[in-house]
Amino acid sequence: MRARLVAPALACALLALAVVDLRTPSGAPRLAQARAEEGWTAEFEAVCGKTQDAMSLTDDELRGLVARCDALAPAIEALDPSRRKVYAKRLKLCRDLYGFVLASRQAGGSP
Amino acid sequence: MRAGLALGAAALLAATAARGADGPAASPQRAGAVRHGRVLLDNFSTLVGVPAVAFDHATHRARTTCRACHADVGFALKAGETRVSAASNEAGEHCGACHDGKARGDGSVVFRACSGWPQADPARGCTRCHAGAEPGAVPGLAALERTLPLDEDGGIDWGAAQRRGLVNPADAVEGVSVKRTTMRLDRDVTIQARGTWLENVTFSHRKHALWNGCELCHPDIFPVTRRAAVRFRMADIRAGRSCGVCHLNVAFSIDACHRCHPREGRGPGALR
Repeated sequence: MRARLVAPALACALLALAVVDLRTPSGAPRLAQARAEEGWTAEFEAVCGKTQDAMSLTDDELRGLVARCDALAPAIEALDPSRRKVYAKRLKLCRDLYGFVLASRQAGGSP
Repeated sequence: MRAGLALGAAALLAATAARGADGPAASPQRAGAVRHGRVLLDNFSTLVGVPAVAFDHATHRARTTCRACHADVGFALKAGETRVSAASNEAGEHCGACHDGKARGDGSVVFRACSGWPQADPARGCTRCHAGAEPGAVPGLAALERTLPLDEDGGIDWGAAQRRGLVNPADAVEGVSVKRTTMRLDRDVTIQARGTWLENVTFSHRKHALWNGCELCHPDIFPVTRRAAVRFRMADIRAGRSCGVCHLNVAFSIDACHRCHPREGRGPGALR
């Protein structure tokens, strides 16, 4: 009998904790925030993970990466100041490198 | 004859004194900045009453590559530009990306940066980083200099240390770095030396890429690469531009001419 009462109570308590945990202090759903974050971090990794291959990419691929860097900028601008400072710099390094390789090719040089 | 011996002995004594107590002869540059790679960081420290941070590259580069900190963690290459703060360290960025007080896979624990800020209390260990402008000896450097190969200037030859497997710096920071492939461009580039008795520079992308990423050097430090489109001048390098960004304060000294100009040329003032 006691077990029958305890189990639902425990389940309710766990659910309540989960609901609390899914909300940030500002009230925004943390899960949604986490998913949004996963989106931009995955894209960031995909875009900036190709810097070592920059020389072997085609012009179209490089232009695509520059565009993807530009598309990422708003998500990074929305971060808290500490993370924004770091990721804005990292994104700039990636974007500038891809732009540099493109410009070098157009100028007839090779890094 | 005796006078000659005395003069010789005096010269020997003077030379020995000039070598200093801790090893080979050191130019003022080598003795200071290059040997330690020391950078004073003071964006906010003295404003809030704590000494500036005396950061030593020497002890950090045994553990991590330049790329991990300057590309992934986001440290600018110029002191003061990053605007590191206690808040960003505590948020797990900058120094806090590694100095988080958590155990690593090997069981080691890196002390947590700016823990307890803003109630900074020197007894908590703040002075370990906030050591001010005259921080004294670099902890751990003497041990590294005893165990790692030294170059002719008495500084650690990091390239040789890595080639021999004596250091294996991490190229990624857990939870921060992106996954990368290995750089495919590994050819050497010849930079013609003009107006000097020294011969051409052979620049090795392979050697540099072991420590750095492409994006660290291009385009910020080397914005033009088209052959002969840019001239590298020693005056610029000494002023902290191009190669001087690293080779004035972190990497081997630009006074070690033959490390970049491997063969000496002919003419007055030729080396050795």
